[in-house]
Amino acid sequence: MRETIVTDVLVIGGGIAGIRAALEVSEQNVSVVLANKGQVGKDGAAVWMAGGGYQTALYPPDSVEQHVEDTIKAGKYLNNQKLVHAFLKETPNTIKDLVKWGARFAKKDGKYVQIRLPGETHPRSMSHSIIGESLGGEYRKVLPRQIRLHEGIKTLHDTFIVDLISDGKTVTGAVGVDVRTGEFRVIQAKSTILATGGFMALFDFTTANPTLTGDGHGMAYRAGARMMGMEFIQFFPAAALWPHTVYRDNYPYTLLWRLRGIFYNAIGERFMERYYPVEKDFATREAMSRAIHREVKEGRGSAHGGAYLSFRHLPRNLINIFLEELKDNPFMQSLKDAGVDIREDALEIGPAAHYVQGGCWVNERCETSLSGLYAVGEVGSGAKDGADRLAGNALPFCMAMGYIGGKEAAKSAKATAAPKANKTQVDAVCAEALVPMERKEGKRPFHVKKEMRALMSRHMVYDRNKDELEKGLKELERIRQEELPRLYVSAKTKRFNLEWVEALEVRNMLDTAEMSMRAALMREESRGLHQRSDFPEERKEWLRQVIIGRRQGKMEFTTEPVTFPYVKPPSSKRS
Amino acid sequence: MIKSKDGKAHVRVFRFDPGVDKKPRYESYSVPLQGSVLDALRFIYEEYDPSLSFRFGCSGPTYERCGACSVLVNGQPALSCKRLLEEGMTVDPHPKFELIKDLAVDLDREKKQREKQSTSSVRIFVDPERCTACRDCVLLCPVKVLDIQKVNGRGRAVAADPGSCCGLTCRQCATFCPNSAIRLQTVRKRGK
Repeated sequence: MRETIVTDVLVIGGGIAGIRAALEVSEQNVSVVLANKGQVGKDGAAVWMAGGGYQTALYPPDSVEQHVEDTIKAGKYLNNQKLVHAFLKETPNTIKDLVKWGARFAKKDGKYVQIRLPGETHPRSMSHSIIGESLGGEYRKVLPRQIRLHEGIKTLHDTFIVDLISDGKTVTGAVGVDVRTGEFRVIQAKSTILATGGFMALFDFTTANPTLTGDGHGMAYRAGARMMGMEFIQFFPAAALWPHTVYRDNYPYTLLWRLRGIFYNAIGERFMERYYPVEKDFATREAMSRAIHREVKEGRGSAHGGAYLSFRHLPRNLINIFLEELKDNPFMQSLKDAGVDIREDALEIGPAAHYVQGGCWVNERCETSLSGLYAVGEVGSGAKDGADRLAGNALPFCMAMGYIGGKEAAKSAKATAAPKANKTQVDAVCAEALVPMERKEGKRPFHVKKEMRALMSRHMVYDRNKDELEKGLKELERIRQEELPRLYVSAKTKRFNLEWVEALEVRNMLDTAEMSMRAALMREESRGLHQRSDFPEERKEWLRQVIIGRRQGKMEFTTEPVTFPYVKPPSSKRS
Repeated sequence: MIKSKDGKAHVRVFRFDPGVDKKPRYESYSVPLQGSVLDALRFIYEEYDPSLSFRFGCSGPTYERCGACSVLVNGQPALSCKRLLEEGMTVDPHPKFELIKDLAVDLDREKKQREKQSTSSVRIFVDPERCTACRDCVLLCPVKVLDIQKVNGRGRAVAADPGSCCGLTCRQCATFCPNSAIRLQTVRKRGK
């Protein structure tokens, strides 16, 4: 059985960008359907785990122009500057929206308290009204509630979108699976907004959740959208690998700075001194991650594949003052549960995939290269972040893009006629999705996913080089040729079949991983988050974007030069 | 953590597919004694029975943000990503919500009738002096334990359904209360 839903706008993904887009569409009195892989607000959307950063220029002397300049400098001049300006000028309004919905930010003397994060000219980041608390909880409190309050939004919980319906030029909706019943849902929409987030789950160790498998990237690519910036993946330098009770927590990074921690490798060497004789253990995020990745690759990693972070050098009465201060901190309590005392034991930390810069090519109206398809948030790249992301810029971009994308999608939905369903294509998508379900034997999806994650974690971390990338690509090709046709779902139940969802994710992961690896192989320089050991320098001729398209079922790579309407890179001034 | 000799733990898991099975059953699995209950469920899914259904979101163990993985462990609600695995645990779906399959529930639809009241692992105290009835805790609680009610002519947060509380595995209400009005206290088991 197949359920057909006809709507004006379809939003895929229920994180901050998706929710903001759905709200905006609903405000424009256009019917909207929000399809989410889990239950909205009770899923693994990255925004609920957000830390403290939310950048917006509110008060002079700070200005949007300054914010744009900081963003471009952090992005190593690879940003699409027009886009950065178009999105960032909306961010002061996004704060008003959040406050209107009930989010509370710290205020003092009638002004919002703004703190300085690395890379900002003026203090610009909002903070929670409880000192030291992360803002993720604040968003989870207010955003899902807005979805429930807007009756115009039809929410499809637990609906996994398999593929977009597209003729190569126009997108007219999507085909999904209702995980709860195992039935297909065909959603016909005049405009479709992608808000599926990143692909951090392509790595073994990530601060995000394991369901972010790059589904939006995969389906947009297969539908024929142009993708860009796929080689840039941000790693958080110091997330906890051990003890288990704090696995993946990013608090050690704060501890490192507060307590001046020291890194050790497996042979007890203070290896950071070797890489960075001046900064030592306090190098930049990228430098730190890169050194740890190198140590792990050369076989000097810690027991769980990272580095040791020790505070043992501190005198006991000094560290006790800190510990007394942090008595109620959940991280410290979890350490206590595990029986680890940081006065004696070292933590194990490692760089964890944190954010991806790559996604669909978008313009300042959040339109992708396909008509009827919009992309917002992490999946809508447009090179807004360039080669590196300014800390605290992710969520303002999501909110601003959600607003703009929602408005534009609603506007175009009002102007277009309802699309006709392309039945043959829908049939083909459904049939393909059912193939692993019908296969009697083969390889189970989680094995394939494990292989792919290991591959990405080996070859696509900060320390990349040509040989490894080519080896990785060969391995990916083998998975595509040998494992994909053997993929099978061993559980044949229809209701809530997790394995089927995993099987459908595999194809998205494959496409995304291949795009990412090929783009990394193509960019022969080191810039921001893309670090090649065989090309360790920034190269001027690579002030270009790597654009990925699809022609006759194959990936096609082109480059496009970056333009500088606002901020010019220092070297081009001289010439 | 109770350690068994061979580093294995036995877990009993509630299994019921309303579309196929006539009545619910429990199945016992032997899993490695390490990590959280969610890790054990994941292990069962990978090694024994891929048809096991369960929910997970942010997949903790230190985020505890989404509350999707809330289940009943040994009769007490807990977040499975956070609760450490012990020998001889029984895992049931969270009793407050409509069942979809096995441990997966519809977190938006509450059961009309609750057969049995589960026991909470904590007592919830709300300081009436500090509470400003701002509804933060009501909105944050993944299983809707707290509610704003009128007490002595003044609105304040009340633990309306303490039996559903995931206790110290979640404690989002206490963490995010802007006035630090909520306090959770572990209930001591009798005889132990």
